[in-house]
Amino acid sequence: MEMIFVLLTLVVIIFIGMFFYFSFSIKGIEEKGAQFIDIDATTISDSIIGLPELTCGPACVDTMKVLVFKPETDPSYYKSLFKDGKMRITLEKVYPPLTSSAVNLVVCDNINYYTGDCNSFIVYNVNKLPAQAKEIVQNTVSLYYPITNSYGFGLIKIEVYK
Amino acid sequence: MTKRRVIILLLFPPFNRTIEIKTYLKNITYDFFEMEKKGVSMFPFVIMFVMIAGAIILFFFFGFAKNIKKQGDTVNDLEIVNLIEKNLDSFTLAENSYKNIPHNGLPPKAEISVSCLDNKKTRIKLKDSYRDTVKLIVAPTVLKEKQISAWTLAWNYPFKIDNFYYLANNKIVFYLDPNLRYTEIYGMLPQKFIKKDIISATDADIGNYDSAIFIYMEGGGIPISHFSAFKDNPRARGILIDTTDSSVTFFENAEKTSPYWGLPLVFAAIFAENFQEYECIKDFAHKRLKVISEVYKNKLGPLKGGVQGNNICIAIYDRASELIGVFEQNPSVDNEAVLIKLNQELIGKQCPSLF
Repeated sequence: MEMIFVLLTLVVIIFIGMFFYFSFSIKGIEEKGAQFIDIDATTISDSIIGLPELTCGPACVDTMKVLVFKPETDPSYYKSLFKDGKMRITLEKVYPPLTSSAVNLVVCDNINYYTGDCNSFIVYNVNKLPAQAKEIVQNTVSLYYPITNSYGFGLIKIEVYK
Repeated sequence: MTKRRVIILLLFPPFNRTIEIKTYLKNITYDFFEMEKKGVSMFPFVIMFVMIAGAIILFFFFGFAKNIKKQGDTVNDLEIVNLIEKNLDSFTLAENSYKNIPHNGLPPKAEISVSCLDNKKTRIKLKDSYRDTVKLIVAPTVLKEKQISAWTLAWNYPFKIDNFYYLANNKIVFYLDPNLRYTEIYGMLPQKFIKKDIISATDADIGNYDSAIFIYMEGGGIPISHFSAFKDNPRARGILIDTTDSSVTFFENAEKTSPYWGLPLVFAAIFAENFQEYECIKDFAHKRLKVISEVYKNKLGPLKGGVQGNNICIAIYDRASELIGVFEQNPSVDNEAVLIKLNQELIGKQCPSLF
């Protein structure tokens, strides 16, 4: 009878051990799987600079294309392109500086674009509410102004919400 | 009698028949104590109990471990599919680029397939794991080798529309009409892909290759009748490129002809698994062309706003809107040429260019 109890205890211990071992294994696999759906902001940055809807050449963004860019016309395409990520992509003009004395970022629209009184473009924004954790990647780009056939310098900023 | 009863009860528990589990355990315990009182050795019963309990536990954990292994394999497959897509991502900015992926090789028996779905996405698949992407990817067959050769070509028609991605390996051979040597098609196809001239017409040409693609040229040196020697071989595929009317003809069960819009689509026809795949990727590409054309159409408004008072430029922009509309619907080589001419006209008249 004692032997049965010893064996039962042994089996129970093995059972608990294996349960924990497999639980950790599953957790490890799940974590690995989660990495696949993790958004790589650097890749997104390259994708956005090379996007035919916006580009004017290597590391160059046509500001007029950005002005007319409407990702909502084909949401599923851009959602897939940006790996279903919740993110905000903005383009900030660094040079030439603003003609007005504004200190903060002024978003460009169909009016202030021509006067040069703006220094920011919202390219893509799928999550307007700031989330707790986010990854920010910035990349330098040439900005092209078709009207004057001139170039400026700016930063493309990708804020990925986890 | 009791010993035999215990063995029968242990081997064939009569659940759901005459007694319940509770009664069964009560009976068996009672029998054990009865036997112990009579001085019968308990050892064989202990062994039997351990074996049955052990078998149940082992069975349970085998199933559990099998599930974990399956899950682990799926994750590994996903990792490979992800790796391929990441490698293609790195091509995004390239105009014409080639690479082997992955450098350290795929695991054995990794059969990667690429398919176009619903004219709006492509799927990279390995067993049950897959990744859907909006990249224009084509591959002639299931890729079974340890390394994949990937090539990308930007589709500038006349403005940049997208990149095409072509996948192959060293088990895929491209047989070309020798006259194609003097065309861009031969020159642009990377040297690392296996390219051979069409000379003979025997099955030996296909050899151990998983896929052999015979590329003929309208008015070339090798007549298309040459392909009749291979038409029943599932590993062989023949296509005829007609540069005079910008079309490609697939030689499958029946001849099927479709237009192409620029060299990247000629290569899409060469690399596509069949006519259906080509049509799917072509329609997907057409959708992208429409989206990009719309961007240029929308750009006309701000362009006109920037040249206020310059009626010459405004008149050209007005014409451009109409011509882009025509090009969107029918992206023929002629309509592409019209847009190129219009852009040159804009530059000539000192107006901001369209692209």
